[in-house]
Order: sequence, then C-alpha cells, then structure tokens
Amino acid sequence: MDPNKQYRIFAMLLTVILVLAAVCLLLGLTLGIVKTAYTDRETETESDTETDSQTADMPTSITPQEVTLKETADAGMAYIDEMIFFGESTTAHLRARGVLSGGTETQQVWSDSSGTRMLSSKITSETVIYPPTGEQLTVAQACEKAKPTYLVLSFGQNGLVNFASDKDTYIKNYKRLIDAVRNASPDTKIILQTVYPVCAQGNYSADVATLNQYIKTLNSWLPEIAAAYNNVRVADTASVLRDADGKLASSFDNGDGQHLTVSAYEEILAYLRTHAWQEEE
Amino acid sequence: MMKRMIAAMLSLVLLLSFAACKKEVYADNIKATDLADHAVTALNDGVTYLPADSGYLDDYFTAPDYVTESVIYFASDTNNLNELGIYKVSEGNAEKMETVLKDYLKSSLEKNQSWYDSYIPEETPKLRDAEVKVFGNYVVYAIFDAKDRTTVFDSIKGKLTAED
Repeated sequence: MDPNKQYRIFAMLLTVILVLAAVCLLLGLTLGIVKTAYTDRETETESDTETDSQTADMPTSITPQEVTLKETADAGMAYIDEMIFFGESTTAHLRARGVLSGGTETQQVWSDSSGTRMLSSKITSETVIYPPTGEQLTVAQACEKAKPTYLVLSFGQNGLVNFASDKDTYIKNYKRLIDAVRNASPDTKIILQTVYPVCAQGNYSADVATLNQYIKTLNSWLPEIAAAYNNVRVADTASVLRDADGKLASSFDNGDGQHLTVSAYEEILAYLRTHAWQEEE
Repeated sequence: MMKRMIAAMLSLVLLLSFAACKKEVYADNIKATDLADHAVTALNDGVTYLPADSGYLDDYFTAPDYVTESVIYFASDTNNLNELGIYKVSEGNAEKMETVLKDYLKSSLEKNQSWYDSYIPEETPKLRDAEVKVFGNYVVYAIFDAKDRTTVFDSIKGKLTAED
C-alpha cells in the first residue's frame, strides 16, 4: 500500500479514537458530577437526620433560654445531700475540703485515684471508685447502682484550649456522658455546672484573659446541651467565683490560680441551694 | 578454580539473602481479644486493664470499614497511661490502619500533653514513645514504657507467628 495512504488511514483512525475517547470522558465527567452532587445531598440529609436522632430527646419541652436554674428560696443542705458530684479535680476537691455533709468521708463525690478527669470520648469507659463499695465502675454503672436524684457535672477546664476551638467535640462528649447516665438511671436529674474561672495560666498555652474568654465560650454552649434533654439543667455556679475582671477571685484561689478554697466551695453550694431545681421545671 | 570459588561464594550469598528475605507468616484466625489477653498476661505488671467501649477513640477517628475486629485495653487507674489496641483488618489494609493509629498517637500527645504534664508528667513519655506495629492483618499500638512495649509486641508476635 502507498505509504501516504497508510499514513492517512492511520491518522483517520487515531482521530476517531481520540474523538470517541473525548466523548466518553465528557459523558463520564458529566454523569459523575451529577451523581456526586446528588449523593452528597443525600448523604448530607442522611447524616443530618442521623445526628438529630442520636443524641437527644426529640422534641424537648424546654428552650436553651429556660434551662438555667433560676433563683429560689434556700433549699437547704438536705437538697445538697441528694446530689452526686462528678467532674474534674475542682469537683473531686469537694471531698478534701470537707464541705459536704459527710465531710472528708463524703460518699457524694465520684472520682478515681487521680482525682481528675477530662471530658473526652473515653469518659464513658473510664471508671470511678464507687464510694459505698470501693468498686471501680464506669459512671453509668455507678448511676445504675446509686440511682442518684441529682448528678452534678463539671467539665471544661481540662482540655480548655482544645475545646474552645472544637465545639463539636465538647458537646458530643458531654452528650455521650449524659446519654450513658440517662440510659443507666433515667430519673436522675442532671445539672451542668458552668466552668469555673481561673486567675493563673499554669500549664495552659494561653494567658489568663484568653483562658477566661474560652471559659465564657464553653459556658455559652451548656444551655444548648441541656436543652436537648428534658431532665438536664445548667447551674451558673461559676458566677459566684468571678471578680470584676471575670477572673477567679483571689480569695477563692487555693494558690495555683485554678483550684479552690473552702470558702469557694461554700459559695458554690450556697448557689446550688438558692437555685434549686423546681419540680415543675 | 578461582572462577568456581567465586561462583560458589556468590551462590552462598544468594542463598543467604533468600533466607533473610523470607517473609514472616502470621496467623489470621486469632481473636483480637485473645491476643490482648495474651499480651496483658505476659506483662504481669499488677495493673488492672479494662476494655474500652466502642466510642473510646471517637475523638480521634472512626474505625474504617476494613477493620473486622478491634479491642482496646487501658489501665483502670487514670494515673497510668498504659494502653493497648489491636485492630484486625481485611487483607491489604494493614498499612492504612497503621497510619490511622500513628495519627491517633500523635494527636493524643498534642491534645493531652499539657494536661498530662500537669498531673502525671512521669507518664507522658509513654505516649510520646508509643509505637504501632503490623503483624500480618493485625495492627497493634502500645502505649507503655520501653520494656513493657517490647513485652507486648513480642508476646503478640509470638502468638501470631505460624509454626511449621
């Protein structure tokens, strides 16, 4: 065959192949884009629905504006006696300060030997020393045994800097804990304390003003958490600890700018007594 | 003569290199929980280990679809950071899981170091030096001191190594 003719045939075939390939690519991209968008919308819708159903009562009868416990008459120490406290070291120290009815032998504070805790995805696996028996139990297991009337929680100082930029994790882990408690003891009323202020940087990577701003941010999220449930409320106990600048008042500082004196805990308990959970709430 | 000697030496070197390259064969039918129990027994450190619930590492990752089985044991005393995780994965996914777990360890250190340094500074090196190892389709992370880490990995490897 004439080489020129061969060349022409080859060129023609190549052109046909390239055109076919281009058409297929175009079709593939077009269909792919449409399918992906639809799938994304579907996935988004599904995941939205999934999120809604996973974490809360649907619907609740209370709004974020209504969940903060309001001022009441003094409910007395008998009201405090019905509470179990679980949280970070500032909660564990309720025992050491001897301010509850049982003094330093109180069985109302749940903690482990470290005396501290962080609100992480591990919170429902980690254990506390269950005071009546000395057993190591998860908080859910302890609630199942004790069926406390009130469970007072306090989390946010440990991990503060990370939480301040990761609202989802803070809320998700708080809800994880609340869900575990509610499954174990549905009648327990849960009170979320506002995060206490600080007046020293300690090992944090931010300065005091920034830390207290972070604390204010976390506290603004608590009503959203509480409003997702019918039996969770917020107690703004941190309000009695702040000075005019929003820092931990020096008279309440135990020396490191983060932990509290006996008088601080007395103020906290007084706040709880005078902002008691009313039955109709 | 010299040529024969060189040929013989090269053959020997080749033979030895084949032997060195022999791939370790790991069992694939042992439950992750059994491996973890075996490792904890080998540790014999007097520490109580508890099994973590399914959401334990949700702050860091969701177990990928290729994970067929997993178990995490952690020291019941939160003053002790000892933690062991075993993930069994489907064929060909061990390296991917290794990366996921290395990222978890790195992220955990970044997130928690300042808190740990405040309360349990002697424990932070365990997390800093934590390792991930692959044994066939089993990917294991260990947060322990150096001696216990070796014990954990050696015990798991021993359990998984196929015997002729």
